[in-house]
Amino acid sequence: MNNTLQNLINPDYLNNETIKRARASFLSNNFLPNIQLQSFLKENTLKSLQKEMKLLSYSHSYKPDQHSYFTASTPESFISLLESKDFKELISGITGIKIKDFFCEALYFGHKNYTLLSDKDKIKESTAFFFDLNDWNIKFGGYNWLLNNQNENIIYHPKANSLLIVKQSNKLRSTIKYINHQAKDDKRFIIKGYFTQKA
Amino acid sequence: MLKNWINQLHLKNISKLNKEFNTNKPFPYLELELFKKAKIKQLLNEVKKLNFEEKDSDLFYLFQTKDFRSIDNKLIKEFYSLISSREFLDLIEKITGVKGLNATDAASLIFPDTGYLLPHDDRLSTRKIAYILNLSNFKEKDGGQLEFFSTDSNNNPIKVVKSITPKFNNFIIFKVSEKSFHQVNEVLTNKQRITIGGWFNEQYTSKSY
Repeated sequence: MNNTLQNLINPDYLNNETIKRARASFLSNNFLPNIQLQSFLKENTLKSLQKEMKLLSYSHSYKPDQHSYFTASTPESFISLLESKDFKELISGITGIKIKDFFCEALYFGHKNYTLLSDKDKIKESTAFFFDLNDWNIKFGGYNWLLNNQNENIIYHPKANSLLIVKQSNKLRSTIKYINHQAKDDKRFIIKGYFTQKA
Repeated sequence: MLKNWINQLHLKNISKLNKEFNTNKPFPYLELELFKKAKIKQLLNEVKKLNFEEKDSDLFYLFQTKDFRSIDNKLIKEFYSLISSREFLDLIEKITGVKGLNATDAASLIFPDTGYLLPHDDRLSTRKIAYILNLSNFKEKDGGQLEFFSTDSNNNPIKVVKSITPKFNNFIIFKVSEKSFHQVNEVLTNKQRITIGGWFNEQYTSKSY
């Protein structure tokens, strides 16, 4: 592993034993392949990213029967991390998928924001990820809800500095629950994206 | 049975109601006090005695009863008999101009504080006309409005152009089509938004939300 990755992420995730355990956990769930890597970035990396996220210029993305949230370009510092060869190797090591490329965007969800499982969606096979910048109270809604085609589901509690990785397909879909008025002015900041895999 | 439940005034103005239904925007709809208030007050008392099951999905958070056709309560049976009677369906056909109605779905819904129903068009093969009978009185600050969306040339919903705050005994009907996108705004206070709702169908369907 190079210095860049060592400087940015929790050194536990650079340990081969940890990667092996994470991979076993990811692959053990046949119906809902997913894993939430907690305390993912180093504290100072997280703090500077949190500051950057709040200063971005967001615009409202609203398709009433599909989603409502605010979106902006991902901070360069996070893009650099995703672009690094070592990071792709880390994700490949955990998921068993050879990462070719990625797409991502910075988002925030506040009161009245949501995503729906629309019939219009045609989800391609992909490995999706959600990186959370702040803690979140699931009483407000706004959590990730993973569902497969056999009516099995898991609710993920958003936690600051956690990276949720989900193998997404037409058989497994992820939605973000409507955020109710109890959230007041609180916002869930996330970087969301997906990795494409080598053929 | 109609005369026991329906405000007779409306039976004299059907052509006016038909014109209003079909010219309202963003899609054909009508709101009116069709039923006698005293009967609906009695009905509300019976509805409050029913069992409501919590329903939670990406699209909604609410509580719902079983379909009224399977509920053993004298007044609710009477109300269901009314709204599924040939006489009543004929009246709805005359008001809307939509023919071939011959089966009614009915259930009661409660939207509690934070309850909501996100945008959707209600389309399912047999549904022709949707209806909602409001059993609560809300102020604007309480939320819970039934809202209608305008649509673009591809029938995608764009924005809310009509908002109806719940008012006791307000009966709303709208035509189910590829344009009929609507939502129920989140309830913002500790009031309960209670309704009876469902669809007038071409034939019976047990599907609900």
